[in-house]
Amino acid sequence: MTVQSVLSVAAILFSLGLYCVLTRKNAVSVLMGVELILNAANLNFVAFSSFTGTIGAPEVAGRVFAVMIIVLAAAEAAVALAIILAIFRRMGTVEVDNLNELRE
Amino acid sequence: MVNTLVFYCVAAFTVAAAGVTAFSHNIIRSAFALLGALIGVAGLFGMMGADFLAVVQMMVYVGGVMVLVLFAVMLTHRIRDITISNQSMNPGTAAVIAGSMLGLLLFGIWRGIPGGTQPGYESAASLIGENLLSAYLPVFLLAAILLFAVMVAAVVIARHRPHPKGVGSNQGGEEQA
Repeated sequence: MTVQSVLSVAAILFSLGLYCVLTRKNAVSVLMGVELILNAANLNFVAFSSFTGTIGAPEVAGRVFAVMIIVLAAAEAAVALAIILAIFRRMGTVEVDNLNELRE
Repeated sequence: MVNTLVFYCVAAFTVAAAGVTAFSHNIIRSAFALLGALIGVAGLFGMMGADFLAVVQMMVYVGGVMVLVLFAVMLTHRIRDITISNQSMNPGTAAVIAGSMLGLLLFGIWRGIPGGTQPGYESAASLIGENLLSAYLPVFLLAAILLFAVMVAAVVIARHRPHPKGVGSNQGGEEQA
């Protein structure tokens, strides 16, 4: 278990999330891709924090950043899903290629 | 040795779950695979000694965000078309973009970063707490304000409002100014 292996897992997660964001028609699925990308970033922060510190004193900035990213991701998910629900109520669809106007 | 083996098992589980999330045609299956990927990431956090982050990940993502996602999936879908509920478009172009991104990242990771081994298991929960309340106090307070704003905003946005053009749909709800 080296820093490269953890970063490689994060890179694969990022690429899968990017693919998900680029291809999905459903807005909820796009959001799932964004969650995967945020998790990949978090994995990078924790990896660098763990592998660059010394015993008993890891680089704590990376951990704090990761906590903040988790908070931001939760906030983003709550607001985005509320918006998706409102859009579905208005327009009857959540497919992103049908949503091309701000009001009907 | 055992550590390495467990790491590869957890990493394979995480990547497989993320793959199902990205490629499944069924959105419910996709959502539950995302749940597996998040649990796998929590496991990787734990293996790197970030036990506090692993617990936070389990509580916030697996307990909170996933419930939100599942609610959104089930509230915005008609169950009859569930097997084709997660359609994709332009898979070729997206695969080229994501694949070249992955290649660049892996090249940089394996060429540009000096190899490091983990300096041993350490629990940084108390360090995180001390830093959150001293050096990173402004960020902590900003996060608190953000969470409050988000809570109000989510309720206001998702609240059921009568349709302005609907017939007889404006009983029991005042139109927002």
